[in-house]
Amino acid sequence: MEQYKLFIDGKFVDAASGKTFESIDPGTEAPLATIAQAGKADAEAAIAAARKAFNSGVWSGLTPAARMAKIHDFADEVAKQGLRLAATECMDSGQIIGLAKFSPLLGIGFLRNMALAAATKFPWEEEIPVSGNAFGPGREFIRREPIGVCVGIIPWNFPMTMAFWKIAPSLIMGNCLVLKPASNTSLSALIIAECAKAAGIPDGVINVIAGPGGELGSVLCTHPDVDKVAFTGSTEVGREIMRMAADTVKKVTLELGGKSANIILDDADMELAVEGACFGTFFHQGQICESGTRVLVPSKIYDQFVEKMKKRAEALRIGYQLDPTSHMGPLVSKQQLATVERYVKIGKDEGAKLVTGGKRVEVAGIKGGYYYAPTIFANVNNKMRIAQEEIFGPVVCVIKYDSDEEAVAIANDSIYGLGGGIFSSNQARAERVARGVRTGTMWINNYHIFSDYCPFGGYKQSGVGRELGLAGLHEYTVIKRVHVNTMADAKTNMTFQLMSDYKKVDGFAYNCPTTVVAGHGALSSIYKAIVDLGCKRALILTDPGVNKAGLAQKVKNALADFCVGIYDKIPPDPDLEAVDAATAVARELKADCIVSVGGGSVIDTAKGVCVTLKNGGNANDYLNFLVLTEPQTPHIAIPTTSGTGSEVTNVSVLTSHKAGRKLFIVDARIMPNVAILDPIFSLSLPKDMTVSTAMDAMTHAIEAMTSTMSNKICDGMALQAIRLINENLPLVAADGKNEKARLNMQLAATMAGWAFTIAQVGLAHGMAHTVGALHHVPHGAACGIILPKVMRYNVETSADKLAQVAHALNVNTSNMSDRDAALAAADAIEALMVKVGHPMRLRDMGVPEESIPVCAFHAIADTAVIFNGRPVNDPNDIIKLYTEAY
Amino acid sequence: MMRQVREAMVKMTAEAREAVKSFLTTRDNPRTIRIDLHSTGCCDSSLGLSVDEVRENDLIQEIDGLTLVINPEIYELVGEITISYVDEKGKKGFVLNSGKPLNEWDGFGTCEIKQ
Repeated sequence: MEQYKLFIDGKFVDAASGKTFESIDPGTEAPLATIAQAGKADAEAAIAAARKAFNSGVWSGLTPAARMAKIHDFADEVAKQGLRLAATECMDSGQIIGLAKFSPLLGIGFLRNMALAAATKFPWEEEIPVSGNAFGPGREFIRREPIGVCVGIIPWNFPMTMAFWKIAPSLIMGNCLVLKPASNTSLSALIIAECAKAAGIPDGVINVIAGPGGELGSVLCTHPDVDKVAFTGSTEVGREIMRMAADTVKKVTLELGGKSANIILDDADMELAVEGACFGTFFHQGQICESGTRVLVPSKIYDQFVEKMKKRAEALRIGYQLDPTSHMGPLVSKQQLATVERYVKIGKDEGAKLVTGGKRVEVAGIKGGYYYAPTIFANVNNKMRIAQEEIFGPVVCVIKYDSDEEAVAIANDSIYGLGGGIFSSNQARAERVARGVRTGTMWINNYHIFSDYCPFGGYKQSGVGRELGLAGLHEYTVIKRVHVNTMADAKTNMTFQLMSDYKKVDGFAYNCPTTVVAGHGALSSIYKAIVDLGCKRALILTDPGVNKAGLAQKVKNALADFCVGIYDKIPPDPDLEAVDAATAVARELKADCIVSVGGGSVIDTAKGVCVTLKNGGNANDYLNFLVLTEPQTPHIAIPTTSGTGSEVTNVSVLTSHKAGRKLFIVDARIMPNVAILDPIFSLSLPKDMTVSTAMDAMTHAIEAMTSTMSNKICDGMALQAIRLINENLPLVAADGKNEKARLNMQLAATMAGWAFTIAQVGLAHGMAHTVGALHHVPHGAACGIILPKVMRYNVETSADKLAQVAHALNVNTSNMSDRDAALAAADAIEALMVKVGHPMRLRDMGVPEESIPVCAFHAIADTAVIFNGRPVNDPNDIIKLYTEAY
Repeated sequence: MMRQVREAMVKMTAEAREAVKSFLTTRDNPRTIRIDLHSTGCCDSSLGLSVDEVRENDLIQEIDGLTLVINPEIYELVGEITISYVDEKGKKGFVLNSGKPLNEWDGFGTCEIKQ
């Protein structure tokens, strides 16, 4: 009789206790081999060997391609042992030789397929282009790394295949393994260990210990050096393994029991369905966890189907497993035979009709063996124990149903969800039914088909995790997220500053790619611009007033044949629905470029349209910060006001009625590709709008200078914008047709936009947003009224910057301290407002005094306030400012 | 009806006896508990407990007012049975060990009494 030893740390060794046990041939009950019986000490030695090997990096440190090369050698050694493996598997487990002869081949294929997948297809590293954190910019990526020491515990039904299912993914992904085969069927795993050794798999990378599951399992599943347990076996044992593993929080994958439904639809090919029902149940004596042991048959064909199944079952040849003519061999053990017999008795007692089988079978010429006839129960109610508990033998329950919905309900009435089948001549119907069944695998017009790249595992109490395929490989890795900060500087780290009194963000990235074409006659550049963008179908978005003024038509004329239409239904303060309506038109017209002609509302809507047109869906889907990963639909912006700077900014402000407030799409990828600043588009802007939008631009510029994100590039833009507004606003207020001054105002608004899109705004904007949302105060007017009050408030932290503002406002600051100059800047703003007829008090804009506290609480939560140079933590400060502005 | 009363068929720890009694008081106080083979999914069935009645040919043992029954063929298969009860570290239930273990996971998991 052959003798097998344990395989630990690259050596075949006796058990520390010296104990051995016998493996027997279930077809003859004759002893087949003696095997060293591992105990606690051997399990600990195997774990130690695996840990040492893993930590050394001798295997885990190899590249996937290098591991693949060794796995190829391993597979070749398996090939050399193919005949021995097949014969041993057959005799040891009771698998018929017709099946066992394929097992080495399947194992080799699995090793090679998974090694190739790991080396060529597996995402070991993955970039995360959108991190979802706007305050922590940097490269984000994940690495998938081996888990460490894995334990594989496998059952006796497919010992060789199960061994490969544990060995291949664990080793290929860089782990080291302790494999415990079932005591009934340990031989093939130990032969595979010989193959690994012959192939030069480093010592300790794979260890195989045979012995009692309870004793070894208690060590393997609790040992602190084990990182993962992968178990295939009973749900009861799996549950206990999961509990044991919880103490040291090991990763666990479990492939457990099943009571799968094989649903025969009334349009199924009868011959195919009968074959499928019998193969799905009686293959390998029914000792397969995903067997379709509940065959669901429509009432109208039930009797006919059962009769055909009976005939087919009774034609199956039961014989010794090495006999090539045998269709079915023995059960694995006398205990399994007793379990099957017990359940057959339970079935009879429950009132099910025994159609055939229900008895042991004697095989001619053999004394002994655990042979059992294929057994069919009809008239089974799904609540019966034989329909709810997995018998794990050649016993099938045939259950009647009357509709597809009832079949799905019966299929789902189980604690398990591992496999299942559908037989039908209507693919669409079969797929509909398959979708309804809560189970890990569904076969349509087939059964028991496994494929290396197709994942296998259970719903409900059938298991946790998946084996096979890339999903199975993922189970043998852990994810490491790596963040590499864009700026390695403490004073550029907004989150670190939560614990610091230094609130300024020093470093910055300036990314403003919009091409600006400015000057008299700039509109004609659009003809070239659209060609440069590679577009041919421009849709003009505008509002009714601008359209009525003939401005959109001017653009259409300039675009000539490249314009597919004018859409003029953009409302003021656009909402998400406005974007979606415009997008629908753009889709219908197959627009490939958006040209916005209007103020901030139109341009912001157009930005939203560019996003939805590119990515599909609705505007609401993209309300967020920095979520876009590629260029959007090309956008040419032609502003008709001089305020928002939206023609160059990364913000689209849109009202969400569900949220009850204005929300944002913020992303550098929504900055328009081209901004055309042609003064003819603002010549007809009314004086009040001219003034209020100008104060919006002024507020952008001044708040960009005093924000925590301010920087010297933006300061330069902002100061020039302030100078231009200070000089030209009185001119355009006095004469709206002053084209030169209008152009300067447009340039100022654009530069202020560039300044704040990087440097952000501050408290004045937060307060203006609030009175706009709650009391409909025009944004520019609100900004103007509040700005000087906030400037004085910010003197505490931003006197130097505001002193520069004063200088830009043409205040003579010589002999002034920064503080005095800063205060003078606020005065100068108010003087300018008076000069141009800007409203000076919130009370004149319809804001009720009693709402000031409410406004203050809203304002302090506004995003813009985060960036205010002087930290704003007390709502009373804002109440005071609102009161001053009132 | 054939009944065979046995003396040393089953051993129960005190905790197991109390747990069984406690369970039965919530179920109209039946007194008969069957020890049987139970499949728990996939390979390796195990011994389990259920509320039942005495049946033809059963082996019977009275313990502390409880009636424990088992099919003689199953008793022949598994030998003397020890029933204990655990409630520690999240592991809770009856543990059944047998003189001739059903499989290598004998006594590893726990079970509840089935109705």
